Amino acid sequence: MNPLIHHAPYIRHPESSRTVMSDMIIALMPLFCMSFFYYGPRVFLVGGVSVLTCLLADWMCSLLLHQKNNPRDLSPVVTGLIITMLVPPAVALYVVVWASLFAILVAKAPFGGTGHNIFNPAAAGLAFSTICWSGQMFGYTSAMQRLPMVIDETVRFVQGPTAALKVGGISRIGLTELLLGNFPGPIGSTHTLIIFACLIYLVARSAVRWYLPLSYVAAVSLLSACYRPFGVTPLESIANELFAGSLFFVAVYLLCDPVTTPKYRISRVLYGFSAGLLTMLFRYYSPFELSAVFAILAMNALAPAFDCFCEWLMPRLHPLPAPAKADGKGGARS
Amino acid sequence: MNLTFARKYYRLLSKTEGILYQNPLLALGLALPLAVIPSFSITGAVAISLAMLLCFVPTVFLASLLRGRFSTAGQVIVYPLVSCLLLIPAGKLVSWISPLIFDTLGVYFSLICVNSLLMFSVGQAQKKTPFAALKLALRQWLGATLVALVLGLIRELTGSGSVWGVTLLRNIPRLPVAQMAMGGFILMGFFAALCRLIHRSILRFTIKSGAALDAAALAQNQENSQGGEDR
Amino acid sequence: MSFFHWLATGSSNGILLEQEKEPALSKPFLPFYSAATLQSQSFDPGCSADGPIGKEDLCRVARLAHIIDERDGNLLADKIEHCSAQKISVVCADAIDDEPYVSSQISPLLHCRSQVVEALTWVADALKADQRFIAVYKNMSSLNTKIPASIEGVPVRRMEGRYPMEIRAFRALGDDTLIIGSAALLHLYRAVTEGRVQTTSFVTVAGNCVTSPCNLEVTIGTPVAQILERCGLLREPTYLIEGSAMHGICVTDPENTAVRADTRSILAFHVDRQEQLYNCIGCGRCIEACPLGLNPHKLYQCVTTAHLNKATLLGIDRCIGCATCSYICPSRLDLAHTITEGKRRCASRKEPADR
Repeated sequence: MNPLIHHAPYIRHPESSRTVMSDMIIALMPLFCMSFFYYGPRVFLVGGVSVLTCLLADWMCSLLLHQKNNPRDLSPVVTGLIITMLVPPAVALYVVVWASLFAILVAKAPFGGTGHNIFNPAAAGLAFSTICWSGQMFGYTSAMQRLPMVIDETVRFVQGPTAALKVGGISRIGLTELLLGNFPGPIGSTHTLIIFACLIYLVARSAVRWYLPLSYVAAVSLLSACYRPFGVTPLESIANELFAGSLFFVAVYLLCDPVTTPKYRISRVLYGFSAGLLTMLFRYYSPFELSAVFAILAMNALAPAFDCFCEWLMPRLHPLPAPAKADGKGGARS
Repeated sequence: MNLTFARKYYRLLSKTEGILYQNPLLALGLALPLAVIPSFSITGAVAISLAMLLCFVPTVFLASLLRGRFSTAGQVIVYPLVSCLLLIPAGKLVSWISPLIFDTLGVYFSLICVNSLLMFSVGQAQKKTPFAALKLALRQWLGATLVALVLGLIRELTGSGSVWGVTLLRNIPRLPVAQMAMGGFILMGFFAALCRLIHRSILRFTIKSGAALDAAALAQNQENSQGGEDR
Repeated sequence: MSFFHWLATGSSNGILLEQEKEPALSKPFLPFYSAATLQSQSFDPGCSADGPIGKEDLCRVARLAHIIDERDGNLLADKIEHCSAQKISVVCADAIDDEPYVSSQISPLLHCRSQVVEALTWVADALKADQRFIAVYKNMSSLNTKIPASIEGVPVRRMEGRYPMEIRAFRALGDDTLIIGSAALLHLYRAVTEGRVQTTSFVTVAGNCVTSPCNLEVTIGTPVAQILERCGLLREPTYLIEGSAMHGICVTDPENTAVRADTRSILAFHVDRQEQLYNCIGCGRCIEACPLGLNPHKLYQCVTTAHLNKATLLGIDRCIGCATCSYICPSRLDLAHTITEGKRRCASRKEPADR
């Protein structure tokens, strides 16, 4: 017989950790295709380097922890892909390598590995790169420009629309361009329509709960409609804020990471709403453009607090029923 | 790895209490910001350790001389005050060595007066004779200094590719986070983990070989007793 | 559930299990008798099947035939006798096979309909019950056989609910309902008409290692290994289960484990070893699946880190052991087993304090 002891139940739902993670990977693939269309094959190089670094770091950490490495645990791959999606396409490769190393070696492994990390490792890696090399991280290139594999002087760097938004300006990019991602920005987080389609896929596969991105987007829309710059209609302001940067991508992929979000429904809705408020706060007052990622990191630290609040609240909303009678008079005679 | 090496390692540890064993920064976590933040370069590390030598060691020696005179609340007030007074000559010494360092140390220079390492050592010194307290203070200082120097060296090499202002690595890309506080603390954490890894692997080897020796001794006893029965 | 109620609770009232009853359900049950059945002596029932049968006669026949109800392992004669204490107005034939793969109650019902209905009518007339019905589980999909709305005049009631709500479905029926398993009714018919002693029980043999899943009528006492030989195994199973897939017992010695009267199924599964090595990813599916609204994620953490006081505060005593959380966990953790162990440890810790 097998050395592993078996306990009931002996049948399991066909969904496993591997299918949950592979759903996320499948939902990230169309973004690669779209950015290949915009920026050329360099995006694959960046993605490959990032994923490979994450996998090697994870393997090394499982060696150090004297644990058997589980190749079906695809979470380092997801981390690598998310890091790729939020860096500019012309970024130097060592930035991506350092981001991936930081994500796995500092934000994930010391806390216990997969399932035990407090902070989203991709968000932590990106924050690290932003702090160290902020010039490189915000040097975007215009779309529809095929980038060479090794960045040389022929590549011209421009600023993205989020820089204009940060100084209180108005970015005059039409709605079609915003939705299709035809403006300077990170590799994968500008293609809003595709991210929306991937969101529908993830919700249908129940990898992501629908109310979590909705509460985030609701908070962001509320604040951006209220505090819009002069001369902009509320809807235009909402569209600019939501689609012009990495916010929608973060709402779908980083916010809904199962390990770092709270577990109850009410606490998730409150968490998403607070993350949206914090993102807009960072957008208005912080010096960096990548505000959604920092907001996610701050909210990750507070996620258990939302769970505790929910556990305090739920017995008050649903008082427990009286315990069943011990003499067994209740119920059908069987 | 054999038992002779392990024995030498343990003897070294017992001789270097406070420096390699029970290091105040790595093992006890005392005075972390004081040693980590100014040590963004070797010069900063040397400056802060010189300042600590002048402030910290005499205060602890004084604590052992004045043991029992003050209540705990009184100790909290008196010894930092003494340390503050000693800070004045320390500041003069550091700015004589290099005024630039003195400026870059900033507020951390004044923070030497009150820190957890000082209060911990004062508490320990009160139970010892003055000479033993002096040795304790020097050991603690040496342990903190060693860690600060190592951190400063690594941070300066990775952050600006130089050692004491002399550029050594020209073409290697720099890591800006090494010059920030965040990088210092993370590096400190990894350094502590590395030391713990080395210690634990030697410990595990010792336990395993001890168990093997025990089993061998037990088997030997059983053989002897059986041989005795046969006769 | 209103939206606010849905938002405010953690759970969603249980899960829908894939039933996977085909092809065993549509095939008639096959006999697998040993000498004990073939050579058993019949007795004289002492009453005629044509006229009405009194309660004492029924009890006598059931006791002589030693009929055991497969739902709970009690003697049918005892159950009918205990009904004298209370007025029974409804008699129900239980053909709810709510666990996946198991169809050992529906199969005798569908393939020996008139006999089961006849026996049900006898019991109802003997106890002077007004209503009779047959209970069948509603959430079975992709069946080759259609379950009719009424069998020989007796209505077939579809019991609805998600796993594990069926337990509560029966509790909702009330004190005046008598529930008998359909296989026991078939044995009762045979005892009254032919004087046969119950020597067999109906067992479903299924699982992904069995070549052709089927229902068998097996002599009680047959070793599990013989049954598996008769059905044929595709490959070496990782584990053998006697009982249902969610609550069964692992069989470690098939040569010496025998079939009993209340064994409803024998399942042979092969599982991928690599799929058992995941960490908890904190997805929260267990919290949504728990029918009682407990937090299996946190309870598992408390039990594995030995914080039993906190586990008691979180309500580990209320766990009913339905194993829904283990079923749905994508990381294949043994949540139900760990929480049940923790519950036992909490209870044993409290008892010395009471004394």
